[in-house]
Amino acid sequence: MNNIDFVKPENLEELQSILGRLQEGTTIIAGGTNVIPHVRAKHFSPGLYVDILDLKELAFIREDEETISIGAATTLSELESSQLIREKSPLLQAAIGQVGSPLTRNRATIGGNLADASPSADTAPPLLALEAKIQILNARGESRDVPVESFFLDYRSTVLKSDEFIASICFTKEKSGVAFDYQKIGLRKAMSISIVSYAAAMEIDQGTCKNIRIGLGSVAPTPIRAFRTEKLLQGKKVDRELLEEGCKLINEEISPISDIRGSDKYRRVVTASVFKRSMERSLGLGGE
Amino acid sequence: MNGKIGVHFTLNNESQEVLVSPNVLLINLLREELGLTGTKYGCGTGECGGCSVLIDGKPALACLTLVVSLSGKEVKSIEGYAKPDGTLDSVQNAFIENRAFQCGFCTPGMVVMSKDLLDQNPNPTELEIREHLKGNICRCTGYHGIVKAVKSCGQSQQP
Repeated sequence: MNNIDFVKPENLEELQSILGRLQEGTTIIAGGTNVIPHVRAKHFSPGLYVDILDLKELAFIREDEETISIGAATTLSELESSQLIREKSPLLQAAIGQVGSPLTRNRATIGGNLADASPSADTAPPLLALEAKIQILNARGESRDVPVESFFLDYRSTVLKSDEFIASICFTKEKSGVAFDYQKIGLRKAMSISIVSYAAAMEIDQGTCKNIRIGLGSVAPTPIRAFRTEKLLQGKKVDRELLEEGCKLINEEISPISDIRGSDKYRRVVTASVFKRSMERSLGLGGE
Repeated sequence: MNGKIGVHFTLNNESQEVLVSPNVLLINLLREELGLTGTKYGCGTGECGGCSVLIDGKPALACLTLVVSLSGKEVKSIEGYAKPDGTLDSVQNAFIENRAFQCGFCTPGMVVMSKDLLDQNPNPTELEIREHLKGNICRCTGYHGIVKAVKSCGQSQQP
């Protein structure tokens, strides 16, 4: 039986001081919806639980003129029911509503979903499409911003050092009239690990696609942007031929694996299909 | 330090003072230490909803909650839904009247989530009911009786 300890910092300063000790097995825990299953499956062995679920300084949803920023310890149900998010970031809200279940969303946090760094982290594709930045603080109170597409390094590996934590996530508000779409393909309507997840935002001007951003989950070791597919579509009038090219190109950008939820071939077919249908819907092209 | 930690919280309106290791989960405390077996262990990973309880009035999963995180909080398990004299909650009665269970294993979780829905939305549609209960799995009923039971609670609310 391991030595496990537990501490609940009351403010950011205390949290920073705890992290500064660089104690072995320090495990930040908020809702515990990922941490507890990992611990029970013996994926790692915590030495010290640091409970931040009630750390008010890290739970907020704010806007200023240009941006929205969300505290890392904001629960997914707070985001789901936020009028600000509903009005100013419908893409994020569409995605949040499909994460887990009403039960887990009451406890799971946006920071926790990102820090867990699953390739199928459901908050990642919309944040990728929104070109969000992750604000990271360390034990000494120093801050750095990392674009979400640079945050994930490899399978379940992020840029976070052992004395760092996610403080907030922020992104520029979309202009009105931006088209967006979110699709999550899973084996069940709730609590399912995505087989493919897709988030896209773009401006459409008379059939021409501008400023398109596509975030994908579960089709690579980390959540990714489909940069090359975006570049293909950028500034072009979208027709069926271009979409077929896009389907091929998006398949070159992804590197899915076969697992119990689906084969790599299946994921390739689904990714292309989701992309094509989503674009058709956004552009009013009609299905075939 | 590998010591136990004293945790003071409220459970079903009664004060609780427990001494637990930091890795003890609420589901084990309820079922094994306190003998409250209404909260069910279905999966242990948060996927089935069988261990639904309320923490500070909001639904949560006992299998994913460390007891040490409950200091100063109010927990309500299924045993807290009937009145002290044994009178069942209206949702519980609706489940009985609408044959909303067979083996009964999912029922405590279903009652907790159904009541949570009705508290926020007194007259939910079938779609809203199914959406809210998405995290609770039933292997027996096909959900029909459960949805009917919750719907009947809505209809009985007179303006």
